[in-house]
Amino acid sequence: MTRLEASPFLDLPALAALEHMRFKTRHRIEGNYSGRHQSRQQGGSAEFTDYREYTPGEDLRRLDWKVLARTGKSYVRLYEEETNLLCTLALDASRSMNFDGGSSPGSRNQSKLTYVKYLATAMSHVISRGQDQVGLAVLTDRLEMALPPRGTSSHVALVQGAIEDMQTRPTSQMAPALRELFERTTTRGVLIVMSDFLADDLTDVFAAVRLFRHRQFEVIILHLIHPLEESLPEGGAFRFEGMEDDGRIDCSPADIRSEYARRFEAHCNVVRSMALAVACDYRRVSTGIPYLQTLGDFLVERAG
Amino acid sequence: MLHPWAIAVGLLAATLPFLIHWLTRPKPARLPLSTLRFVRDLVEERRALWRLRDAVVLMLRTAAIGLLAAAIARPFFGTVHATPPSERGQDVRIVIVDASQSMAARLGNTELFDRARPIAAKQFGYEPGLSANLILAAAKPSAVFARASNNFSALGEALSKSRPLPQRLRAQEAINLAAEMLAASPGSAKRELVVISDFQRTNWGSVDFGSLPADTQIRLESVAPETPLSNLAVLDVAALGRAEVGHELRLNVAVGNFSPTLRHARLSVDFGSTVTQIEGDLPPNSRTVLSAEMMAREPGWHTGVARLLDVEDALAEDNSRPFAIEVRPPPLLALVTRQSADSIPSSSYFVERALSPYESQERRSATRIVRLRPEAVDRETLSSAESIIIDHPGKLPAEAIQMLASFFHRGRGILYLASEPTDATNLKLLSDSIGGGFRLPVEFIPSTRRPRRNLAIAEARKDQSPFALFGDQLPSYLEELRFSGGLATNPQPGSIAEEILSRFDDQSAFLVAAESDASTFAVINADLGQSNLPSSPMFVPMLGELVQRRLSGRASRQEVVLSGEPFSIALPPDIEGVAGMAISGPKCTASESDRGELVTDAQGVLWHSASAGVPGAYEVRRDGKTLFAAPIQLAAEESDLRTIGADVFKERLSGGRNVEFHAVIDDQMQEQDNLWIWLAIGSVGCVLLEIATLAWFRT
Repeated sequence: MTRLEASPFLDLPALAALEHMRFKTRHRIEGNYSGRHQSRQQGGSAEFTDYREYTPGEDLRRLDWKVLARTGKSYVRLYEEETNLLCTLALDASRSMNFDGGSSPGSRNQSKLTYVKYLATAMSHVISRGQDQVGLAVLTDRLEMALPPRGTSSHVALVQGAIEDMQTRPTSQMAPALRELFERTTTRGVLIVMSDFLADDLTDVFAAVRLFRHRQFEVIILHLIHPLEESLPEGGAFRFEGMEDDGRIDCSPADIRSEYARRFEAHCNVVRSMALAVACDYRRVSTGIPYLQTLGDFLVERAG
Repeated sequence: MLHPWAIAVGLLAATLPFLIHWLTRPKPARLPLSTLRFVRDLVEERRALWRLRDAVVLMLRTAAIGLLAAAIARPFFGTVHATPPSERGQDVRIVIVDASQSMAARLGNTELFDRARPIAAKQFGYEPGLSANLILAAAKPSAVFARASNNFSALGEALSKSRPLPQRLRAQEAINLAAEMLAASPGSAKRELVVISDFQRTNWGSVDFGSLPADTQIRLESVAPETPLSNLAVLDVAALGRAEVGHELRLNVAVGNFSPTLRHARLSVDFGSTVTQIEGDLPPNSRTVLSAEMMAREPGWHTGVARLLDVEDALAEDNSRPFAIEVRPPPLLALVTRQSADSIPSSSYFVERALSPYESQERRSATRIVRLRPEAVDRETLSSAESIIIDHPGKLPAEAIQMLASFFHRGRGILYLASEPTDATNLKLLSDSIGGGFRLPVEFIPSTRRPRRNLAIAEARKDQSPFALFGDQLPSYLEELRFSGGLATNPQPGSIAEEILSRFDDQSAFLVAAESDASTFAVINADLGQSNLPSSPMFVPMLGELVQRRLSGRASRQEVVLSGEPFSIALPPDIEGVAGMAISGPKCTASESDRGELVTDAQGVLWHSASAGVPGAYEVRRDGKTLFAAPIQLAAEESDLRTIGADVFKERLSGGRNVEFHAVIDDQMQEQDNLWIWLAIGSVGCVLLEIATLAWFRT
């Protein structure tokens, strides 16, 4: 399936300044084609790195005949293999991602989901511009959609279209979807998880993430936080309605504002700690910051 | 008892705040929240705490509103004394409300009369078969209706318009009026007398309820506190002696301290254009006289007022008192004698020199003596004289005796120096001419047995004028005195012994003094020309004191007129006719009748009124000149706020009637009167506690 129209979340003029930047991995990865990234494989082509004694059964093409002729000893030449990036964008599509602050003071009426759509679309564009392959996974309580990484422009357009069409579901579970994604993934690469992590099964989620890490995936956690989630709104009385079909509560925010802020911060720290515990790259992303700035900072950090 | 509709309206009004709260309570703003789990956790954790907080806040808020409502309502507990209605349906209730000045005393910020008014109003609530009447009691009792009526609205209106009057309470007259009304009711009627008063000891101490019908139910409602209210008052202002131009005038101001503690008082005495301040300590529950000295510059009537300064007491109306004093010119003395002025030494010479020892530069302030021969005594000279001295007159002509007696009646004191036998006749004729019950304490008779020589003073009343002047030195002075001449005396039967001030050693009288309503008459029974008294140091002061006493007889007659009471004052005899005369009084004087009226009768000009006006200085004027002045004053007994006990009424004054006594306002009631302040403070305290509770729970 090929989309003819560009995604409304793809702002090419705005992304022009970022097109020269490339997404780099911090770990060796495994790709389908030769590329800019350090591959987990050593061999074939590319840059010489070392010698190693030949072991019988090895590919004789790697044997350094000149050294054998001069010294009579058989050595194998080792080369650093460079490969392309297989990046999967795992996007949280739970209903909590729809939070936009409602009509509370200070709300900019941009939900986390919208922000994610802009950010993911831009990221897919930047990755594809770097001759890397990009895939997509939409996570709810199950794996809503999974597009394996491909590098073709039509595939990128398909990914961006899927991001555009992404719908939320009321759920507070994300681990099953990640496990399903893990089971479907046969290659190694980079997994970028964009979520607010307002899930009941955080431990399971990071257990699933640990599976990816065991498979030598580089996992990047982008923790999305709406500014109005960090503290309760000012005012007298509110009727808070849950977004995951979890009821409603009438209360006066003044009574619990400070404790709420403490709790939320503690939740963010838990997510960060669990991410770092499984050797993920954790990044806290506030939807109050423009996504281009967020992306730029991310790429600069990755490039350095 | 409240009407059921009133209770219903009250309940409806009580629900109004809840209704307003329910209608105006804040509507919660709806807000979808992704982090509801945190809110839910927090709410569930704190729900128990919030319930406790809400309970505490609700309790405090309810208490605050309740206390505020109670403070506004200013409750009085236990003041209702309901009387069961009669089954016969013929009840007569007479309510006497004390409207005297003492009811204006303040307990806290409220007058006693304002406390009496609602109690009286309750007596006029409708009851089947009840007729009632209201008597406002002060100097004269005033009834709203001639007899008991069931027009309760008119009674209530009269009560609401009534105010305390600056008058004393004549309680017995009010009781008697009530007795007449009760006696006029049918024989089968239930008779009830309700008296609402502060029951001052000074007003009620001698009241007798015996005039009431025997079956009268007497109910006494006291609005006075159990502890008497503290009060200071100016009780009296009087000039000491004769007020004379150019001489120091001493005013004695009597101040009452009706409180249990020593008080220091400062008074301002305004007299004419002079203002003098005096001060002194006032022992508790006593009357203290403070003296002010001032100089009178102009003769005539002067009015003034003495007022207490910087004093806070229960009754403000008695903190000032008006007064009026006549300042007289230097006295002119008429010396009736046949001795010549050139006859030196002689008895009349000694008298003249003693009373006018030198020719003063200030003629205005010196006493002047005019010699008159007995046969040349004239009305014009005597009318201008303040006092008359008779010495060696020989036989007085009948016209002279009549004229002297006439002027004695008009206030001219007489000092007679009896030395010759004819003086006995003169004195008898004079005494007879004065008449009207006047009689000297001794009868003077010519000495027939042996000549009166070398007589010594055997006894003198050292505690009386003029001998009181000399104190302990009196015996040494008297010891040296020797007298000759004079008359033998015989005590008059039934005479007053105190009028014989001194006796010779032969038991004849040396000095006698008798008083009548108009003036005083003194006799020195000796020939000064043949005695060594003129050379004694006591001669000048003694003679001066004797003459001064005769002079002051007129000045000391200060009329006391009490507000609200009838009075009749005879103006000085030298004021003739009422043509052109007008009476002026305080600015607040309501009408001409308050000032009284002037009439002429056989005694001269009378100023009278059936009811004296408000307290103040009143003047009788003609052509802008003040001829006479008198203060209308508040009765001093109204200042003493001490009350009479219930047991006194029941045991001594009831006259066998059934007396019920209720102390409506005792100290506890006073506390209740201040209760609203504490209720308001409690309300504010509850609000503050609520705020503190909310802040504490928030942290």
